[in-house]
Amino acid sequence: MKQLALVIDLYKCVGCHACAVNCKSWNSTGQFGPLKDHDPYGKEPTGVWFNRVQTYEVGSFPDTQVINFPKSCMHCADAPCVSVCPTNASFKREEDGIVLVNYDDCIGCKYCSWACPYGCREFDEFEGVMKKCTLCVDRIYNTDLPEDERQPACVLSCPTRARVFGDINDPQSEASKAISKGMGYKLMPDSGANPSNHYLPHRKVSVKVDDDEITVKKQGAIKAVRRKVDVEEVVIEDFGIGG
Amino acid sequence: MSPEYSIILLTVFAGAGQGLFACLVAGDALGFITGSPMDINIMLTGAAVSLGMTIAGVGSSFLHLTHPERGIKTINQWKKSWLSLEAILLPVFMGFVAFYGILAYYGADTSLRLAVGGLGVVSAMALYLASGMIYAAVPYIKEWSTPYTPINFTMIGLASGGALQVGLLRFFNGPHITSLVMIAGLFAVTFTAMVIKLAYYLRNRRLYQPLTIQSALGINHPDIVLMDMGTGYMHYNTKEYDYKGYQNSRGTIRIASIALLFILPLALMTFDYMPLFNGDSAVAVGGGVLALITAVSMIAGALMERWLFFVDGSHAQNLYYGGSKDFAAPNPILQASKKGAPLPPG
Ligand code: SF4
Ligand code: SF4
Ligand code: SF4
Repeated sequence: MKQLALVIDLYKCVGCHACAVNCKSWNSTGQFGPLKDHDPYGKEPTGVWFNRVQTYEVGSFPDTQVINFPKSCMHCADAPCVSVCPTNASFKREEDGIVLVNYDDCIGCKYCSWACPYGCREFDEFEGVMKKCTLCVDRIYNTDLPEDERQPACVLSCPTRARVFGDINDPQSEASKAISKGMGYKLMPDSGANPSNHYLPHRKVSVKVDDDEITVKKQGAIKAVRRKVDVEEVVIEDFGIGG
Repeated sequence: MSPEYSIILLTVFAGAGQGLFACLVAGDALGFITGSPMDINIMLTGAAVSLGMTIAGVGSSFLHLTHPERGIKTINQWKKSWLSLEAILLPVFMGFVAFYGILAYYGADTSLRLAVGGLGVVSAMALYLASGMIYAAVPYIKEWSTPYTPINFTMIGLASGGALQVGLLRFFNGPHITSLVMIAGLFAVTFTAMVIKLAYYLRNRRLYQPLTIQSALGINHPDIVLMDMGTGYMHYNTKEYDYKGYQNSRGTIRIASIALLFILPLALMTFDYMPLFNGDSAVAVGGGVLALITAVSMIAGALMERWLFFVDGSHAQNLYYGGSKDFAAPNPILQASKKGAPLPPG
């Protein structure tokens, strides 16, 4: 069975948020109607985004790695959000495995969002329905778009090509090749949801810095750190895949 | 989890309504068996109050839905969704209660009335199960996904509904033997409900999130810190799953809920119902006022208990926003890995 999904390379992702912004932009103007925000230019802007990029620090100073982590709906094979929906507004398409919400059937009970282990469903308070990543179903089959643009908006906008889109059940697809070549893994493999999106592991970036190149100034609790970095000596090590 | 006030009202009020009806029918059957039937006023008032409370609960749950007009669409997913089953069973239960009331009003045959009542009780029990399973079926909220949840909903519903029924028996001076049996039963149910609730709280204290931030991100390192959640302000996921309100008062609320739900009612019951056990059925202290206080206290306690049930829930997706610090007990897997042991795979 066909299963379209995204493969996201954590090593290539630079955390620029272009995917998230382009996702928001496309989904505010595409076939599903607007995606409004509360207080967009104020102090407390909030609203639905289908894709969010978070940043984590791994390790402890000075031996740390920064990991940018984009997350959108995983289009799970055993999507728990689909099985709990009392109206069948949440459904998984037979033909390509995309999980969608039928906005005309959703009663806004929010039960599906409790059932998603990844926190990928967001409630649209303006329309009173649950929303989430559509895997750009209104782009990938859209014959009004030129053929090379029939890709998810987030994939097209990524400057480092950290996102690959394709059928993960077809071993010949670009996505499957990326997974097998790059040791792709799933988030929370023990969640039981069997997510379709895959991540390619971050690889440790070692920058050789001598002790005398690090200045640590202690000002009360604040540490100011200055580093001179020798960019030519970048060593790439395996970072290890967990999960 | 953030408390959904409309659902709190639904489960507490409809739960008490179901409990009241179950006890009403039990009292009715008891009257039939012992040959001293219950007053028709008790049946009519009981059915009316039960129906009223359930309608109040359903009404408030409709307020929680943003599109209640599409509610009818919930009826064909009962095979896969407990929420759909609950939406079907609620009107079924209300239908039985109304039918029972009508039969009592028109003085229909007792066996017919009891049969309808019996079916109503079955639907009430199924409804407890469905309501509880809505929460127990969410594996990513460990506090909820336990058999305690439906059992707890049932016991507290039966206890608060039973208190109402005993209040009615007190008020209308119901048959002596029925009153005695119902009071003894209510005492036992309330006490059991308390033991189960306390056991549940103890269980939660030892609970930990089995999923880790390591598996959430797929990064095998003991030290992972969220630096930037990607947005400058809260959004649906941080508001819905990570409720921070009344952090400091939660302990007080917990004690108050146990006191109002169990301790005070048990004490009041003992005091109010003593004369009955001395064979003096006519003496209701203050004409059933104490019985009414018992019921009100229980419902107030149940509202607090349900509120705590919500805010105690911690969702696995919070791992993405800073780990499972909400849990009282630390995750032993994580503790081991911090001490230098390797993380187990998966
Ligand atoms: S990631 Fe969440 S919303 Fe998406 S399919 Fe899986 S369970 Fe459903
Ligand atoms: S919020 Fe909508 S999509 Fe989600 S479970 Fe309820 S009806 Fe289904
Ligand atoms: S596939 Fe489309 S909807 Fe999903 S995150 Fe990418 S841009 Fe957004």
